[in-house]
Amino acid sequence: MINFVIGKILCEHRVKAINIVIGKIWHCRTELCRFSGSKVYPGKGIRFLRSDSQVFLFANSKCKRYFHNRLKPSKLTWTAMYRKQHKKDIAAEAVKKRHRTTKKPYSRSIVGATLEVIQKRRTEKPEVRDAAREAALREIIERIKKTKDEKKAKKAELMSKQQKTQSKGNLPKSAATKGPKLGGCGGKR
Amino acid sequence: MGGLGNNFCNLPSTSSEMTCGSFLSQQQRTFIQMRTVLKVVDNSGAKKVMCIQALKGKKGARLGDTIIASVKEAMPNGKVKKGKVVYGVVVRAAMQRGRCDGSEVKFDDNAVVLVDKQGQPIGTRVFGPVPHELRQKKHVKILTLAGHIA
Repeated sequence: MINFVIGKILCEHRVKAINIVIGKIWHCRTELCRFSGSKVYPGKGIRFLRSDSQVFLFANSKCKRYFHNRLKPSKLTWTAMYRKQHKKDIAAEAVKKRHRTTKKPYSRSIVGATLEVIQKRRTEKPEVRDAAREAALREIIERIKKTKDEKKAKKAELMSKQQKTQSKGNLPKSAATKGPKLGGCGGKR
Repeated sequence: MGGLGNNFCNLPSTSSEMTCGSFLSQQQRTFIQMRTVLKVVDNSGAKKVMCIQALKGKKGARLGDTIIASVKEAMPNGKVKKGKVVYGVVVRAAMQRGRCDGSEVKFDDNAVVLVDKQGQPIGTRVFGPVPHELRQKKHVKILTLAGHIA
């Protein structure tokens, strides 16, 4: 097996050397066979171009023959497609992949917060965070209360104004009735 | 397309019939010689063309070679009429052609692009894939017109 591989590599180098002497550029890229999924070294294989401009690369005439006889690679045990479909040798690959994905704590400063701020935030205790959250909530509630009180006060003022001007006449009344409505709309916003 | 048609009718149902089926569907593709009918893949007006002489090559023409052909089937209004003798460049050949890196290329059908005596294509468009080999044969114009270069 090892000898075979070495032989292949030597063969490649030899051909490469010859090609350089002749002055040719060699693509030296191992592609995959479209049928069996095996590696196709440069210089091997048959490339079949269908009329619809689809390219098929076959490792050998065996793959080519099966393809032309319209056999499905997913039904032939020795092809990569079959192995993938029947999930052979995937367990080992999956185990390997899991080891690589380990998250590291992100220790770089971002635009919004410098490194110190991030670290401080990270090392905050949950009690401290809860306390901060409660304080913030309290602030918001107080703010809402304030605005509500203000609104009430405004409304009371307008109502009192309306009562005062009721005795004067109808026209001012209509203007006044329009007033609180507008005031109300403004307050709602 | 003729080759594909062959495969269709010879499709064996079980693997036991494989041997006789494969014998029929594995045609030995040979050169393009006298009386070979080729498809025309440009818009010069001709549809089918029959080779009457393969220039350069005792056995016949291969991918990238020029041939003299007679138009057998043509579109009603085109630059080329039926019965005309034209030159053509073979752009697709069912026979495999060796590439300089050692691999082989083969197409599905035999196709030709009509050219004039100087080698300039008569049509303005080329359909289907076209091989690299044309560059070596100095048919650069056809390559530029092609949609897909193999």
